[in-house]
Amino acid sequence: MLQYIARRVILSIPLILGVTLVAFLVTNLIPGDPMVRLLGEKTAENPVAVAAYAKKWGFDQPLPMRYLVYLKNLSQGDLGQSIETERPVLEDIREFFPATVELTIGAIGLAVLLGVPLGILAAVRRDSWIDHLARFLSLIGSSVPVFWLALIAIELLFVQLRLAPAPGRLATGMEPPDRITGLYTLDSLLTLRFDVFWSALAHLALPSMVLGASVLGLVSRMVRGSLLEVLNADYVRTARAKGLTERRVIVSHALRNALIPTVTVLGIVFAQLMAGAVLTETTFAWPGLGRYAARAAIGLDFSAIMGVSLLVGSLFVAVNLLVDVSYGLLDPRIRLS
Amino acid sequence: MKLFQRLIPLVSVALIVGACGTEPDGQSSATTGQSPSASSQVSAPSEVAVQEDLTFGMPFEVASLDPHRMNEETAVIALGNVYDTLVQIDPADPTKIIGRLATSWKINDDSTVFTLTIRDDAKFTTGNPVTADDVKFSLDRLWNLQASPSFILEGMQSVEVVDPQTVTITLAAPDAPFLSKLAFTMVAIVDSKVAKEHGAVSDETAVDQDKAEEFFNTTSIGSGAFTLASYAPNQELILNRNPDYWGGGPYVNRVIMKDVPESTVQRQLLERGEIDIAWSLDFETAKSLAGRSGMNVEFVPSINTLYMFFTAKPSVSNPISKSEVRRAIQRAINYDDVLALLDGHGRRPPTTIPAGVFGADTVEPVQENLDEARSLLAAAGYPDGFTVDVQYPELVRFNIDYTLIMTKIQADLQRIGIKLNLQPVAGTVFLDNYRAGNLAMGIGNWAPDYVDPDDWTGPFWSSKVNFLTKRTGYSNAEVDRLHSASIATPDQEERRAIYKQLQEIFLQDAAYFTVIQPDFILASATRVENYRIIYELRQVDFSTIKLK
Repeated sequence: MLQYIARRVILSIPLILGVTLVAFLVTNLIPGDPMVRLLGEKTAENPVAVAAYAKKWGFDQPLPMRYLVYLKNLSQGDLGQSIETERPVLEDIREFFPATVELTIGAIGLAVLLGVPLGILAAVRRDSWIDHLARFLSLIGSSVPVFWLALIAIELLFVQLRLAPAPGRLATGMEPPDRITGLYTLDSLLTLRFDVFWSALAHLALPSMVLGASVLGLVSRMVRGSLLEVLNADYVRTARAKGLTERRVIVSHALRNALIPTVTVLGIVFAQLMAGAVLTETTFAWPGLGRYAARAAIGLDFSAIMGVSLLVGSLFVAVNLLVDVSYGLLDPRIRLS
Repeated sequence: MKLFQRLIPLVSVALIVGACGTEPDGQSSATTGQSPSASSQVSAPSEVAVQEDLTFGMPFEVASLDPHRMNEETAVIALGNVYDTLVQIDPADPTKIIGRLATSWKINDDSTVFTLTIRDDAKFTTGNPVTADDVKFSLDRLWNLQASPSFILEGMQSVEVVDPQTVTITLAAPDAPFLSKLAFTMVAIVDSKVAKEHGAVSDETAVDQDKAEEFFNTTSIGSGAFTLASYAPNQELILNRNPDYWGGGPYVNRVIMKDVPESTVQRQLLERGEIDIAWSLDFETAKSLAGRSGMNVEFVPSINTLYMFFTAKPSVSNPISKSEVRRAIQRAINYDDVLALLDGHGRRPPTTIPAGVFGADTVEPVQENLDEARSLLAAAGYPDGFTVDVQYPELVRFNIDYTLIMTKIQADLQRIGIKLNLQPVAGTVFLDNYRAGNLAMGIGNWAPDYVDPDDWTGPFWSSKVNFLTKRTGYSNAEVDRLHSASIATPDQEERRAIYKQLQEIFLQDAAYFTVIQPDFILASATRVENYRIIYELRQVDFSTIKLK
């Protein structure tokens, strides 16, 4: 198993290098002059300023050279400097990524917590009202545009019913917890600032629900479908014939097998959400990676685009590996080699 | 590349940063100016009853918090309250310049030497007094950093310290509007002693030797009404009250600026009292809020403009390069309909100089007239019209969707046989092509850098300044001559006459004209008093705001 993991990790290196090359070429070949973005239209007309800044940001080097310089810096853990924020990209990612991680965990956590039981119930009580409800919810979750859902949720739960706090990560003017992981909920607990913890948790709830809605539908449909499939399998009939309670049959025998496709899908969704849910983050004024990446793309912020591509590429590789490993845990018949 | 596919169309962030100018100035005329010390701002800083925090919601635009490097809206609004400038635009009359750190000034006859007296009661929050040395250091640093806002000091030759309270600025060529350029937020006066201790450099080597940006990003060393308390990117920027502010006030304890990217969410936060001021509501949202109890929604005149530009190069477009065709286009647009897109909240000046700016009212605007338009087209040799490709950026600027405006103009021009082949593109692509001079015609936007008609004359029309003319190929020797004369004379009556002559040529040549000058939307909770946009567009004075 360890050998398997090690081999997969080594194999992923050329893959990630490929990601950097493609990202580098695309960001450099699309039209648009980053110097105008950097200097403004007026100063960009000043040749002295343009020459000085081209030198500073490395735009005066030929393209292959710039790529090699990028790789060299990368090997030393230097992701370069962002044009948009004028800070090291690594620092930016450290700043914005935890917010996205927190939101992703919240969204997927809610989706799994509600979606798995809902899927089970829908499968066990097939064609009952609960099955219809589950179908309805998943339809809504996957078909309603997320920014619309977000605005409606804010209008209803924040403006009208006053149940949810305002968009943002913390209450206005509240000092964030000392940075340990960057996850406000965790850091506030670790530093024993419980007021901050409650504020962070409350602020996390609504965006997690909105972002989780689409995942919820997916999870419940996946669980229902695969559970229905295995419920007709021979080993389930055997389990029932042994006289096990229906509960035991479903939870210990059927569900474990039924979860495999769900885990695969969840892994992919997880990696996707980690890349940043731009619309949700924008509507909820959530300072996450998605908004950072969107700004970088619009502003032709090469280093930032490269940094985010690298991170997201690595995430997908890591998640795929984790998913494969988890198969072995869920189904002992699957051997990784 | 999935990532980019998802990202690119997403946010219509205003891409075109920085095309700017400002304006007023009727007043630089006199050779001496005086700070109206009667204004409320200069009342003695006696005991002020400190009020609660003021919260301000806007989509964050911050790259740098170094006052000589920044050029993004959020940073400019925040630091305009942290660093003082030498002069400012009179909030009561935007055509006048009044003192701020400078109490009076003298301008020589040909507008090349500006001597300013610095007030002796202003102190930086570091405890050091504001002196002429700080002024020299700040102006030199702004210019020598060659950063985004440096252009404002173009033409500055030297700054001399005469005595601790007097400074002399010498220009390479006459520039009567120069005084109004000193009101630009980025001509910020910083504590030179402390700045130097943290790696700030003001001489020619500043462009690569200055190491103070990081310091400025976390600290402030100004003499303004507030200090920079903290900044969390894409979250909050907090300003603390400066209790020793020389100018009186401020009244609120802290100003908390919150990042709220969505206009609708800004409205929701305002409704619930989470924020006191919503900076960028769109017209529709503002309309839905107007008249609600607890809300103040005001539409105030701005000097921002959306303008159309046309190539003068036959190689780019033969029909458009003819001034008759451009005049025909100008007469074929139904401006009432355009205004209706903004619910009527806007104005239309005769030429590129915005309404309300000195000199703009010396001529009358062109009215819609299809017959005249058709005969102009016929005179140009295109009686049946023509087809032309028009690229435009998919942006929302000043709360106006470019697509809406362009489709409207497309429909209007169809009436005289001109078919616009509209091609929406990304903002960066548009700007690349516009700067390269490849576009036949299109739409652009202009926000002022300094409030003087020169900001809409030089950069647009003068082939000596050669900013937009570089893109359109427009050149008119008479315009160049009049433009040089307009900035060489401090006499207001003389200048007015020159602007009348210039605008008559602008109407005739029609290389650019303003489509709409949209109002600015001020939205706040009723407990906020004295909220207004002062001086030029991007400045909000928090020091005068009181909470009821």
